[in-house]
Order: sequence, then structure tokens, then C-alpha cells
Amino acid sequence: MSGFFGFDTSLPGRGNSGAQGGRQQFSGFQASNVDETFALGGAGEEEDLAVYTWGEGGMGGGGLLEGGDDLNDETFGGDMGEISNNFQFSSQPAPAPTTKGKIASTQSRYKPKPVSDPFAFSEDDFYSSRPTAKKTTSAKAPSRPKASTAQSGSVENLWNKPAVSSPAWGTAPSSMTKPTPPPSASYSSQPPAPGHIKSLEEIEAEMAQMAMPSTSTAAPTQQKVLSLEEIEKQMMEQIEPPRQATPQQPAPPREATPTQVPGLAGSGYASQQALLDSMFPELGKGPAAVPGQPTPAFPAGQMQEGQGQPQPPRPSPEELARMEELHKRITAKIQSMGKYNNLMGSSDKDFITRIQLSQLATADPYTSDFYAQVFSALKRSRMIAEGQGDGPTVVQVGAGMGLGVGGPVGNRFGKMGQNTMTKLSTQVKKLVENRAQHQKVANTAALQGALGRVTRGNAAAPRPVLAIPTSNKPENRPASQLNQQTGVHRAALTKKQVMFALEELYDAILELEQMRREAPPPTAMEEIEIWHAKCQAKVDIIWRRLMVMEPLDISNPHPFISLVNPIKGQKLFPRLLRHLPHTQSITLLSLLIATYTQLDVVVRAPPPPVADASLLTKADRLDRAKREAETDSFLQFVIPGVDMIINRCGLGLVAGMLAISAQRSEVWRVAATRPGVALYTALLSKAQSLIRSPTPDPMNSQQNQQVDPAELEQWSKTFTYFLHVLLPHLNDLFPSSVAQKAAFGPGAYLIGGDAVSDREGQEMERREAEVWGFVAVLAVNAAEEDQTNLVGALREKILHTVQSSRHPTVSPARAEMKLRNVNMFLNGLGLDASMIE
Amino acid sequence: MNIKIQDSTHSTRYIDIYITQRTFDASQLFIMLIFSFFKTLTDQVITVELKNDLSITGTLKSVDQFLNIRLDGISVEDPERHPHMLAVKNCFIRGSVVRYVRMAARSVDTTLLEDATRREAKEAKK
Repeated sequence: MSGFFGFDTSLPGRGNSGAQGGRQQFSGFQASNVDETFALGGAGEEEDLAVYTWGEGGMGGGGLLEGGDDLNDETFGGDMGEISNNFQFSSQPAPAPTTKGKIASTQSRYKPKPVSDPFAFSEDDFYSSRPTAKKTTSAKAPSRPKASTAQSGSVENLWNKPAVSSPAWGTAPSSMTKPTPPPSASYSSQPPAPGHIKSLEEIEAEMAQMAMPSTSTAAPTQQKVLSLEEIEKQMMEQIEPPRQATPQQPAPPREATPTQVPGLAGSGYASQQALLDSMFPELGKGPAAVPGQPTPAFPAGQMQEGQGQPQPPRPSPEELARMEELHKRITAKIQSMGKYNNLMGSSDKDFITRIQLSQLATADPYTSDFYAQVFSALKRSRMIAEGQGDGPTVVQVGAGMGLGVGGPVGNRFGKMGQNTMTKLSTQVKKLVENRAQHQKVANTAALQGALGRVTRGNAAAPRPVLAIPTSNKPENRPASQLNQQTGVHRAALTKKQVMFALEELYDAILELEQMRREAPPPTAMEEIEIWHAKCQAKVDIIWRRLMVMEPLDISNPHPFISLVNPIKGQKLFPRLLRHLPHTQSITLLSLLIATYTQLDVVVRAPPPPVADASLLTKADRLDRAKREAETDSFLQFVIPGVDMIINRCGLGLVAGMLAISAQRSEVWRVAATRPGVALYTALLSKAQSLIRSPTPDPMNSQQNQQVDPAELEQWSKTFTYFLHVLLPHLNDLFPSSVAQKAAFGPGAYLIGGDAVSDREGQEMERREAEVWGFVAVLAVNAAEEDQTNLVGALREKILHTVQSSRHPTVSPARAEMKLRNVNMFLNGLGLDASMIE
Repeated sequence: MNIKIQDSTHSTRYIDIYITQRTFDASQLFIMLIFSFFKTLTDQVITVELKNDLSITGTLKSVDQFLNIRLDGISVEDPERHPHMLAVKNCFIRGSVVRYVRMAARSVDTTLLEDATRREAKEAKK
């Protein structure tokens, strides 16, 4: 192989001798040629023989046809000079293996099939097909020996003639470069195969043809990459080669290169690869030279292709100068631009912005951009409520479709971004419409990862940039696992069960809220109906998951109460109520009131404050803090909802609820807690407002009729019972009393004394205020004699409070609060704290 | 991970990819959520604590999907320690160097954020 590649080195000497080549030299060269073939052919004796005979045959044939031989001699003698000249081109295989490679590569590119079997196009193919190549050679060989030995048949003669010529043709290259015949044969591509069969004239014609295009055919090889450096190199070489062109073979192809760029070059790598591949097939092909037709056909085409171009390849000095000038200019430009290599122009930024934005395009902005979308929507509605107009910050493209960019500031991309956004919004609109239509065609990887964005989905199925959900899977989940359990009584839900149930509820609520947001336009009646039905179905699911309809005593706490116990569930409460129809919310409230005692915030109400927190263990402190937090959260989230439902109730319902509470729980216990106080206050004040002003509330048609006397009767009965149960414990409702009671030891002195910090004291007063408000409502609702009882029960408390408010150590703020608290109650009875001495 | 690795290297690689992909999924979704969140903070004053203990307070001008942050009118928490920051009036912070971002509680809708995480979690499950 190295010998093959190395024939460059032997080139000059050979060339000289070849130029003056005589017959002996021919034979001599044939011999060397044979050696060469031995080396190249690598192994096959048969093959060696064949080649040898081929060379010999050529010589022998020449010798045998005496007259013809002379003629040949003449012709060749005369031609010799020309031939040698021609060979400067035709023998170019020697200088540049690349040349051959290129041809082969183009061959492989354009004519893969016909030649493919005997002549491999890839290295692998070559090695695998070499045997076949050998076979073909051997197949040929036998015929040649016959020719040389027998030499009788006309066919043999026919073979021989070219054999004579072919050595001559073949020797020239060998004499110059001592390559094996194959490369030269393959290089000139057409000659060997047809050559042997065709007449001398034909061969000559071909050679003549070859002489011209050789440069151009050679040229394509070099075109590979043509990086700037390469061009430069080539240009440098160009300056010299033309002079050396005649003596030196390598020059011409090089020369041709720069101008011959187009088409053929393809990718640099591909051509190089093809080059590598092609060098070997040629080896196999050369001697064999079998399928004449396709091979020559192609070079002819190539020649034409090349012939059009040969003129430019030989650049005139001016042209060279021009090109150099051009090259200089390009280099200078590149260098000058290189200064800004790391900087972005505004167009670059714009481009990036566009990529960023387009990657943010989603069918459902609420999916990937939920927070910003809803946040800005809320903020907007708040702003509008406050009277500040603000345009939509979400780029809305269609119903429920848009860009996933939002936030309070629309122009997060600056002025440029504004333009881009407006442009883009129309683009995305089209995009979305298109995609919706051709959901199946998933060719969205264009910008995927353009900025290094990590994509969802796996390598096999990358996440489309713009994914539009087509179908919503129906929920196949059993409505409620817990519902399906039977049995009158069972264990309460575990914490884990509660949490899971809550998460499911949240999911359902989120979906429902999303559904509500996507309300169809009010004009589309059918859509609205479908939408309503969907929402209703969702509400039903939520209702089932709430487990309100479970039997009241199924567990302690009731499953629904279990759901409301954690803060998470409490937060869900108002959102649930928004979606529940009136009847269901009433049911829910009844259940809540009936099982009020099971609530954590009632059962485990935060204990009265202790005077000295240092007496508590850490766990104790944490537990207290947690209970306080739960109570606060209950008052913040649940009670407003309860108030809301109560406000929608008629007197009968309110009475009924109070009755339920009074029946099912120890009222004073419940009332001793803040949630209890809040609930009762809400119930009583609602009842009072219904009784006092039966004037219809325009908001609620249920209350339009006058208070039903029966309901009134029922209410007063219930309330009286309630009050009487409560009266003995009235004092215990006040947190200060409870605290005093609970305190013992040194703390007893401190409670209610001055030691308590003012801030804590005020907090205490605030809590007291809740209770005072409750007793005030009690007083308002109570009948005359009950009012007296009430005052009697609270006398001490009232006196103590009023007195302590006048105590000098009590801060004015706290004193004022105390007075206000007492007055809240007293004013309801038509009294005032100032009347107390 | 109890995946039996088969003799073919190809299948092994596939598994690897699958696992990393899953991890990416979660983090990518999370980043989208946080990105969405930060968008609502634009034009508010936040404090960004970097992993090199530099704390920068400034007005959030923009944030991108890599959570790169652009701050305007910045001031550094401890100017004595970082005198070189005195002259800097605005900056662009690469998302990966941020340790904490502090913001006013009122500018965060916690409930909404919880909902958003729920949605993300659901998305990830899909």
C-alpha cells in the first residue's frame, strides 16, 4: 500500500525515462509493474499470473503481429511524445491519490448501483468484495493467457490489439510513476474495460479526450473543504505551479481546484471518506476493468461537466491577483469583525428574544405559567376594582391559548420586546391554529433546545414545543374508596388518608376553577350548556370527595371534619363553598354544626395562656403554637364561609341549626372556644336581624316573606333553651376568667395583674371582645327576664372589668378596650359603663 | 434503581437516559414554576444572595427561564467587604449562582403558589 501511495516519489525519474521510453523500457517497466501488482494485489497467485500474462500478453501480442507491430511502433513512436505529454495529465493518478479518490467518490455518489458489485465503494465493501474483484480478474486472466498462448482466434486478436496499446497506454503511467495499471486505468476510467475490447482508435480517441479533461476530472477531488486557509494555500501554490505544470504532475489538479468548487464537493468529510473508500476499489477494479459501460459513461458526463469549467481553473495572473485581493479583503473583514466576536447586536438580541418567546408559546398558558397568569389576573381585577385601568398583561392568542409570558409588567423585554411581542402574538396565533389542525404532524423540534432549554419527554418522544391537549381522559377513579366501605362505624381517617383526600380535593378544585375560567363566550348556547354540565359533574365529584353525606356517626371525627381539621383543609373551605350550590352548602353547614365538637379547634382549643411561658416545655410550647395557629386559621378561613352560609338561611334554618348544636353538644364547652363563640354569634345575630327587620333582603328571595310565626316560635324556644344551658357557664366563656381559673401558684397573682405585658393584655382584650360581642347578641335576643338573668350572671365580670379599666396601672389603650367591650354588652341593654360607680 | 442491565450496551444507555430524563422533568417543571413566580416580582425590590455570600438588593427588571436575574439600582449589603461593587448600578446575575432571593411577603400569593405547585406536580405525573 505504501508503495502505492509512495509512487509520488518515484515520479520524476520515471517521468523522464518514460518520456523517452523505448520498448525495452516498456518491458522492463512491465516487469516492475508486475512486481507492483504483486505487492498490491496482495496474495492471489492466480491474480498475479493474470496480471503478469496481461502485461506479457501485451508485449507478446505486439511481437507476434509483426507488421502491425511496426505500425504500432510507428504510431506509438510518433505518439510517444504526445502520449508522454498526455500522460502528464493522464498519469496524474500518481501524484495525487486524492484525484482518484474524488472520481471514485463522485462515481459512488452518482452511480452507485451498476458498478457497485464488483467495485466496492466503501472500504468495507472493498474488502468484502475484493474476492469478487479478484475473481473478475481471474476470470479475465484466463482469456488473456489464451490470447497470448493461442493467439489464433479473432477474438484473441481483438484482445491483443488493445493489449498492445494498453501496455503502451499503461506503460506511460508506469514509466512515469510506476503505479500499477489499475490506478491509471481507473483514473481515466473508461479505457481499460472498453479499451481491451475496443479498437485502438477508440482508445486513442479516449486518450485524447482524457488529455483535456484530466485536469478537470482531477479537480473535483480537491474541492473537499475549502476553508479559508485552504484557499489561501492553494492560491499560494497556484502562483508557482503553472510554470512547473509541464514537468510536474501534481500541479495541474491543484490549479484547478479553487475554481472548480461547485456541487461536487459536497461535505468535506464525505468527500474525504469517499476518497478513502475509493482508493481501494480502484485497486480491485483496475486490472479487472470489467463492466465497461457504466464506468466510462460517467466520466464522460463528468468530462462534459469539467470541460465547461476548465477555462477558469487556469487563472490568469490578473485573476490570481484579483483573488488574492479578494482573499485579503475577506481576511481583513473577518479580522475587523473579530473584535466584536463576543458582543451581541440588537438584531442578535432580538433573535434570541424571539427564540425565547417562541419557546414560551403554549397552548395553555395556565399549565406552565399558572402562577404568573393567575397572579396577574388577580392583580388586574384588584386594580380595576380600585379604578386603575390596566391592559391585559397576558398575551392572549385565543380562547385559553397564549404565550406563557405574563406578570404585572408586559414589557419585560423592553421596547424591542414590545414589538416582538405584538409580532409574535400574531405568529403564535397562526401557529396555534395550524397546530390544532395538524396535531398529528409532529415536527416541532426546530427550535427545541436552541437555547439549551431542557425539554420534557424522552429522546424517543420529545416534548413538542407547542402541545395542545386533544382529549381529556375521563376519570376512572372509584368515586371514593372510603365511601364504598360499609359498616355503621369505622375508624377515623388516618392523617395520611386525610392528606391524600385533601390533595385530591385540591386537584379537583383546581380543575374546576380552570374550567370556570375557560367559560365559553355567552353567545354559544350549546357550548355553555356543555360547559355547565362539565362543571356540574366536577362539582359532584368534589361533593362526593368531601364525604359530607357519610352518616353522622360513622366515625369520630366525621370524615368531613377530618378534612377540615388541618389548616390545609381549612384553606380549602372557602374555595369549596364558592362552587357548591345552596342546598349542598346548607347540608354541609348542618353537618359542621352537628359535629362541631369533633373539630380539633374545639376539642383541643388552645389552653388559656399561662403567666410564665418559661414553665412550659418546648413540646408544650410548640403544641400551643400549633393550636393557636389552627384556631386562627379556622377563624380566618372557615368562619367567614360559615357566616356566608348562615346569612343565606332563613330563621327556621338558623333555629334548626342552633337546636342541632344545643342537642348534640355541650353548648358551654363549644362557646368557650373562639370558633364556638364565632359560630354562635353569627347564628344569633342573623336570627336577630331576621326578627328585627323582616323587611325583605333583595339579595335573597328566601327571606322575602315575613318571618313565619312558627319559625319565630321555634327560634325563641330554642334560644331560651340555649341561653339557659349557657347561663351558668357565662363567666367561663371569658378568656380572662379562664386564665385566672387555670392559673395557680405564683401565676395567679400575675394573671390579670400588671405583670402581663401591655401587648399581651391588649390581645387578651381583643379575645374578650369576641365574647362580649357574643353576650351582647345573647342579650339582644333574650327576652326581658332573661336579660336580667344575663346581667345578673355577668354582674361581677362587668364590675371587675369596669374597675380594672379605671385602675391606674392599666394602660389607657387597654382601659379603653375594656370599656368598649363592656359597653358592647351594656349598650345592647340600653345601659352604659359610665353608669357604673 | 433495580434495573437489570442487559448484555447489550444499548439498552443500558437507554435506561440511563430515561432516568436522567426523569430527573430533568421534575427540575424543569420546577424551574418553570419558579420562573412564572419571579415574573410576577418584576419591578419590585428584592435581595439576591449569591453563593459567594454577596447580597445584592435591587429592583428586579427581568428574569428568564434559566432564572437569570437582571437587577437595577443595586446596592450591596456589606459594601465594606465588596468595595468593587460600589460603582455598579445594575447587574445581570446568572441563575446558577443565586443562593437565595428575599422578597416582601406581601408580594407573594402563598395560596396561589401552592396551587401552582399542585398543578406542576400533576403535570409531572402525566
